[in-house]
Amino acid sequence: MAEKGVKVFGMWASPMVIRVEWALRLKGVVYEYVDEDLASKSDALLRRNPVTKKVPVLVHDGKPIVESTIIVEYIDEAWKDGYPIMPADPHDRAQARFWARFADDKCNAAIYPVFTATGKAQREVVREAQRCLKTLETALEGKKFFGGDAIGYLDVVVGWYAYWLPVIEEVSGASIVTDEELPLMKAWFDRFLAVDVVKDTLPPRDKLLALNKARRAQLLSA
Amino acid sequence: MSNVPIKGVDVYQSSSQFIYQFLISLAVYINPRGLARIIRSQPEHSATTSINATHVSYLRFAHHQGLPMAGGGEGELKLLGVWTSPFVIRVRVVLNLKSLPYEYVEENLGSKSALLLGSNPVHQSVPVLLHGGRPVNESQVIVQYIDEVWAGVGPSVLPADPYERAVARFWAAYVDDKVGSAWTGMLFSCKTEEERAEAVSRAVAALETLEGALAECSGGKPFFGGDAIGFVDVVLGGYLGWFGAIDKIIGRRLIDPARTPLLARWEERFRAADAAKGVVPDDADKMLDFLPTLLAWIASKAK
Repeated sequence: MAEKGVKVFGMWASPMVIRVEWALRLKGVVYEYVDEDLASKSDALLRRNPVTKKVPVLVHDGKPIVESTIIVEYIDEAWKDGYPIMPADPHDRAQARFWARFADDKCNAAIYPVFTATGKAQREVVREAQRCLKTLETALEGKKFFGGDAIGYLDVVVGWYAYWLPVIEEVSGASIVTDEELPLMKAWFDRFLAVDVVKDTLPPRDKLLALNKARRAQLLSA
Repeated sequence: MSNVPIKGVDVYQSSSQFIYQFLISLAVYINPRGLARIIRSQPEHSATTSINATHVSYLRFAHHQGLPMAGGGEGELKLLGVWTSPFVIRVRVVLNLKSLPYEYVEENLGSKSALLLGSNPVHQSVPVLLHGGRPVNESQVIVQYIDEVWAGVGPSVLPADPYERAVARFWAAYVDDKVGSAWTGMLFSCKTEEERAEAVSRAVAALETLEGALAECSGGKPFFGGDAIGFVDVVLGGYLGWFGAIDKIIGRRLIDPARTPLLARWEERFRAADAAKGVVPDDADKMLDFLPTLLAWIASKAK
């Protein structure tokens, strides 16, 4: 019997997973969500993604697609008559992909150390994170969203900053995205979180805060 | 003898070559030190790459002076690169697959050109593709850009089906993640032979996974892309020149026909393809001779 429908293997607090959910919801695709315990992954997940064993995994009519940014592009292509996620122009698409790579490779690497840094070291890593985000911010200049008047691929890819960074800031006591340092990004955070598809899909903040507080305490005591 | 022939295009025909050479002389007159620095720094010293380097110099000069820019107009292609770079090589293979004429500029990463710095301010690295003067950066992004803009021209690099595209993108990402990081480890970041050996074992493990991927993706056909070279082929193929050089360093083959027979046969077919000729290096000694230059560039960047 051929497997039909759309399933997402995810973890409720994962920013990489939420990209996939935002993309599916933009297209109006109905999907089944399977929450994974990353400390004890299901056989189903491991069968679908034997190579990297990570979430998210999208399963569409029985076929698994892996890697969040690849999944988002897949969703845009598989449901091509729905909401346009990728820009139409090839040069704009190249720009969006470039910035998505920059964010995932450089900005994320600059942000993670903020989570556990303290004191003087924290100031250093915050500055580095701000430097990266300022570079990314140039892609916002003159626009409401990275995608222009409406959210697009790059908004979906980096949109997790709008919700997760304030949580990281609260948990670590750091201040990264401020009106003084990153005004465009701060304003985009508010606009992005106001988009229906986005705000309807966010994990509960208190749960996210508690999880990250616990994880930070664990990392700091290790 | 040139190791980096310019495929497809004689950039300058005879009469415009004369005008060009005159303007070069003018450029030399105005900025002799700048021009001398560029020519001296070219690692692969073919006549055409020198001309291309001086052409870049001329363009900068011309831009400042408001002179007409020969060869930089709407729609023309220029690629900034380093001949050993796996990321540059894959772009060149794709340009060749589509028989697209382009101007190739060999960059000196120890003394980066204004064009490179201006075109890729974020990473200041190669490859950079300039299309009608507009830059596209990041090799996998560039390959997809070329495939999309010249969708009707020559073979497609990515498959048409969305699921197959996702699979190709996955394996391409895997290659640059696992093979790419091992490659860095084997050549550039290892400080001891133990560290190099560790990187080698990571490379071999990744290649064994890719052996399985090749079996699956090719379905018995010659390439990851099936009958023809595709996205994963060009991404992995870019590393082949260095694999040959590393094989010499470690005294055994990374793509070992005994462990990864499909990949070993794939390598032969890829290297033999027209699109790979002249851009996938086959002289391991020449690459090893160039390695100190690359290490020096990396060291100077670290300062």
